[in-house]
Amino acid sequence: MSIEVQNISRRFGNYTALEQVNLRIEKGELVSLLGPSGSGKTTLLRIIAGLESSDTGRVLLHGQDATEVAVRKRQVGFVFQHYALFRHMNVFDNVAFGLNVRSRRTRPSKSEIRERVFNLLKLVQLEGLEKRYPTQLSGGQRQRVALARALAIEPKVLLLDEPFGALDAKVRKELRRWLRQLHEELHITSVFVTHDQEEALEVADRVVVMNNARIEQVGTPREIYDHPATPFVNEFLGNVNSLSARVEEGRVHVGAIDLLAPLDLQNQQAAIAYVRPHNIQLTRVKNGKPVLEVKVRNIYAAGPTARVELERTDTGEELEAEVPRLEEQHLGLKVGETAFASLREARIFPAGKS
Amino acid sequence: MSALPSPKTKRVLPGFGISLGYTLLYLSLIVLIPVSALFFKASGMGWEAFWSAVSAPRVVASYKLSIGASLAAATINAVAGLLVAWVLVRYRFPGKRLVDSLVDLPFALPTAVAGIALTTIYAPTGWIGRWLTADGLKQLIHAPLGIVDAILAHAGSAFTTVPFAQWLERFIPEDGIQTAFSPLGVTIALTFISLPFVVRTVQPVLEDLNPELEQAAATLGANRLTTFWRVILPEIWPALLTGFALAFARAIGEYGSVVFISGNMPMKTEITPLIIITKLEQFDYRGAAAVAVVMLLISFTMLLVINLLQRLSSQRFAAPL
Repeated sequence: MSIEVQNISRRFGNYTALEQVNLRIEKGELVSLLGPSGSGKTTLLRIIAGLESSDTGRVLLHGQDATEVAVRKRQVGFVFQHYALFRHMNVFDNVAFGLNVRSRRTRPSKSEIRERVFNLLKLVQLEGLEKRYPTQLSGGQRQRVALARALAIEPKVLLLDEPFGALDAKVRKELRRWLRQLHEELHITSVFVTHDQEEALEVADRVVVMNNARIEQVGTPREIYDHPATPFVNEFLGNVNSLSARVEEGRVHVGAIDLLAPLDLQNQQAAIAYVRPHNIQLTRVKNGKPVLEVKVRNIYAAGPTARVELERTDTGEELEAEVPRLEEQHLGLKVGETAFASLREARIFPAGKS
Repeated sequence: MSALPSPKTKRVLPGFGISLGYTLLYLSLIVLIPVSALFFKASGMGWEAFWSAVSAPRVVASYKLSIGASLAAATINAVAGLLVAWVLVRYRFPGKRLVDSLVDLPFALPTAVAGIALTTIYAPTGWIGRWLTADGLKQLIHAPLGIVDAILAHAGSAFTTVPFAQWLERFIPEDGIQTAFSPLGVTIALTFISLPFVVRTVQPVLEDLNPELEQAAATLGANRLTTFWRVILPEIWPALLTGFALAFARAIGEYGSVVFISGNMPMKTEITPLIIITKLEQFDYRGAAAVAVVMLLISFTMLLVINLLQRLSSQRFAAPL
């Protein structure tokens, strides 16, 4: 079932949570709402679910206006960050809840409910734990119970609010791969909220980046990462260095380096060049190419790549480079030494707009 | 002894020994010694005298009234008090603070004052009591129906409600509904004084109740009533039981407010604390102690059972989610 959000705005007192938001999610897609806290992503999710009302705008589910439809009739599965399991019920009763509360006419028989719950428990890999109470489960298990409970009502749409936010790093990674697999099996239109860009890029078909109550960019993880539409998206997705630059006659000058300027930049304009750390190449000698002279401030050499903290000698700006460990050993850089940096790729935006 | 930590266990926060010592000393001085004195006093009278003192028909009737009325009052308050707590926690309305402090009034008021006030209101000449006498109830039936009749007559209709009124009148008891000087009056007084207990025990639990639980229930298709029965009530059940137990305990020991409204008719409206006072006034200290011991045992057993139920219902979710 497709989801369409039209012109949604929402204010809480003086605080604007959403401002004229439009979004279309196709049937069977797995979309993530990504943004820093306070960007309005959770409010948007809750409005889609019907747990929150919007001041203006409409929510369409499967092309039909659902703005005024009550939560319990929307047939959305909702997974909360802190699970919200019913702690006086065991796992079985938690999962069966949505079926048990149906009116007698639409309620499946006891044996059907049983069968469906056991199938779901198998799906979320919790077989044999149906008699446990939520307090007897680990965080990851609880979240899987919550997911099974949401899936039990055969929702048309699955909404997940920071589903892995309360779990530790390792379980988180496992669960998000598993969620991806699950989505490939079930193909329920799913939306999940996260502030973790890695999570969003890894799991989602499409990513919606939100900031300050607005949508900044919508696209596949590759589009978003490779072609960020705004400086915010650029900065929010992973580490990035921002270098002050100037535009002159169609070229962008970053120190001695000059790059081709985007068409929308005017002459004599101040600009910012965004460079990801792995796109900075370090050398010990000038090799004839235009380079930036930098001073090595610090080297962190744990992990597959070494992170090198640098300072531009001309402007004093700090930047960070990521160099493969082998290359770092080959270079033999020491703290305090001077080195030369060239840029493999940079994204240019006008200065003062972030 | 296994419950006590071995002395070798090093505690981060010291003071277990000394605080436990003080607790036991304090409880002994304040509770245990007076209560054991009671048992001591009663034990001096011999089994036969004890039995005849505690099983006299008038005394047994008082047990029934005391326990019955207290249970009724605690039950009424479990429902009404839950409602009050719900309104106070869930809604914002003008005068909320006033209502909130009104709940505590039965705590603060001297119980005798409450008793006199309730008696004045519910006596056959009182504000409410007069409408509950046989004549008052007749008026209650005839006044609204009379207006209907007048309107019907004005409209030129031949229809009249008089037969209906006469039919209703047949249900009026001969003496009206006796409130003051009846078991009903006792129950009303006990309900009044035990109201704060349920409200104040349930309120904080309701405040802490995770709103996401209700939201989860709603997304799963549950309506409000189902959500209340299956999700909210189980969450607040232990607190509600505690409130019920406290209200019951308070009601069963109540004396001041009841003696005015009950009328203290032997076999009918005498509560056990009154029997005890009467015996004391007649210098029958042993008899008073004997009745008190029985009362104490009954109350203690009931509180123990309620506590056990409470323990059972909260055991499953001992650890917070």
